[in-house]
Amino acid sequence: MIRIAHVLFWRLSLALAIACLAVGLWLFALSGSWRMLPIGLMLLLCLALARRGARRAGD
Amino acid sequence: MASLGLIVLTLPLFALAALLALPARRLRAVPPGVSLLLFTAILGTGLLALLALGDAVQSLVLYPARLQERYLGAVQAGPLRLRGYSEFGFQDPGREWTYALAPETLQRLRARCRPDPRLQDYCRLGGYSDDDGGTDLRLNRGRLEIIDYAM
Repeated sequence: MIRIAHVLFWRLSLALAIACLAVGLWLFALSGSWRMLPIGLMLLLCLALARRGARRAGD
Repeated sequence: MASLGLIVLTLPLFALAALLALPARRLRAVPPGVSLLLFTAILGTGLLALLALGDAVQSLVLYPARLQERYLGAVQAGPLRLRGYSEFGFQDPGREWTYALAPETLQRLRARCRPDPRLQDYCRLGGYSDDDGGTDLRLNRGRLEIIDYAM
């Protein structure tokens, strides 16, 4: 159960980061507003850092 | 919601993320090797991303579709035909959407358009205006433009 929760956490967070970047790029192309891009990039960066820590811990 | 709205909401969302992270650790939902601070950052940024996504869908898809339904009777151009979006004004903020129309849709809309004799290739499709704001739908050089001041 906990293992499933961890897998869901990684997958949902990654999907959210990718969706945020994709819609952010669309918004940027339409209006020149970059407001969503830092959010997507920060989420991706946090996920990369967390994933590295989790790999080291053997998850 | 403008960029300022997202900045203002950052702190409360991260506080909420910190409140959620504590019981998550107790329930062992935090993956091993991930610090509580990093887990909180992921949760907070995730909440912010969800909010920004919802706002983008509302601004780029749902709201202009509602305006088209109200003033044109049906959605004539979907999000894939959207070619421009802008937010402007400070005390009287407004938004503008520009759509590239399919040839048959353009023909259909031109038939019900009220042309302006002073302007070439420009005509008004509908809208309203009052003290609180207004909405204007028009065809300009073959593109559908929607301007909305009622925010």
